[in-house]
Amino acid sequence: MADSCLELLHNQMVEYVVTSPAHNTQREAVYFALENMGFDVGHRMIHRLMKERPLLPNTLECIKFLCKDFWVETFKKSVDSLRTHKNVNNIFLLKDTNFRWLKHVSPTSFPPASDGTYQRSMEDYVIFPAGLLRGALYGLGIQAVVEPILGPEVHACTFQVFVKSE
Amino acid sequence: KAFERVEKINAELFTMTYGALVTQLLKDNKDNCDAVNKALDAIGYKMGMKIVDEFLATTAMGSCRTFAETAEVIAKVGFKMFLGVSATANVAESLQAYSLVLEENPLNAFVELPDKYRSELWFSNVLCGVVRGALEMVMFRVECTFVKCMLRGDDATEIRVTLLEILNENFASGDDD
Repeated sequence: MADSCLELLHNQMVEYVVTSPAHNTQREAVYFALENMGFDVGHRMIHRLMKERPLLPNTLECIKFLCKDFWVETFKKSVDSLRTHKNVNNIFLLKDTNFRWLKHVSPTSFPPASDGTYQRSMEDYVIFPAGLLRGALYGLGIQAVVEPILGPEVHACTFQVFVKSE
Repeated sequence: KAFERVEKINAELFTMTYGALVTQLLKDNKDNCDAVNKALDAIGYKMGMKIVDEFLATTAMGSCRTFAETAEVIAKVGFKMFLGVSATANVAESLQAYSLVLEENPLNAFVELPDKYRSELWFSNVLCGVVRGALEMVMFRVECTFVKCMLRGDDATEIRVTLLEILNENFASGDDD
């Protein structure tokens, strides 16, 4: 399977969700739909990836696994930096400075939304990936909230993982 | 050979993502399969229009002179390059239509259709859209429909492509100037 197919499919998926009358009136609905699809896929992916592997001993090892193996499998590169929060030990920041699925997306190509509908933005392209991460973590037995934050570089995205319980 | 030149991805990931999209479409359309088939075709159409650029750039292939020539190219090169499996092309005597037969369809992996969808949903309908969009970019306007799908119990996956018109490359300038 060619890699470009997945990126094209993801782009069309975002476009569909953002423009579909089923979701396009509010940002929450768009977020919910994309994040849920990501969760579902991430959850299934991690099961297949972990099938032949020993269990990971703790949360940090799980996060590291996602930064390397899972990311490579999904985005063909590993996460560029993993940081933990200074004072809080259940927050992890996974930064990809050149996030693959943002590379061919340009905000200038988004058509203006018609009245009362949701305007597409770059942020919509990192919701599904955030869902993937949350789903994968869930599959590893970790409940978390994953928030994608764009920037500061053009194609950079940081996924903030807030671990609720193990 | 073109397949070796493209960067590859875990096919399972694509298949799962596609499956999640179909599930979402069924939900959004309240299980109206006809609407879902249309939506998948529309999504594929836009993918096809973009895929063709990569195809032409990677294969450095000259343009097909006749519609019938596109059959072999899609079946043997296009499908292989993007989907990882090749198809068999059967061109009709009229040379105005052909069918593409896939012995295995990666999109179907891990999928089992619930009975209520079996007779109406064309699960892989995105493929029709892709073929239609890609051919339109090389000036063949076609109709593309599923004939057989293994998820419905058929022995293969079969897509029918029918030529509607050959678009003129020299577009009229639009105004009277």
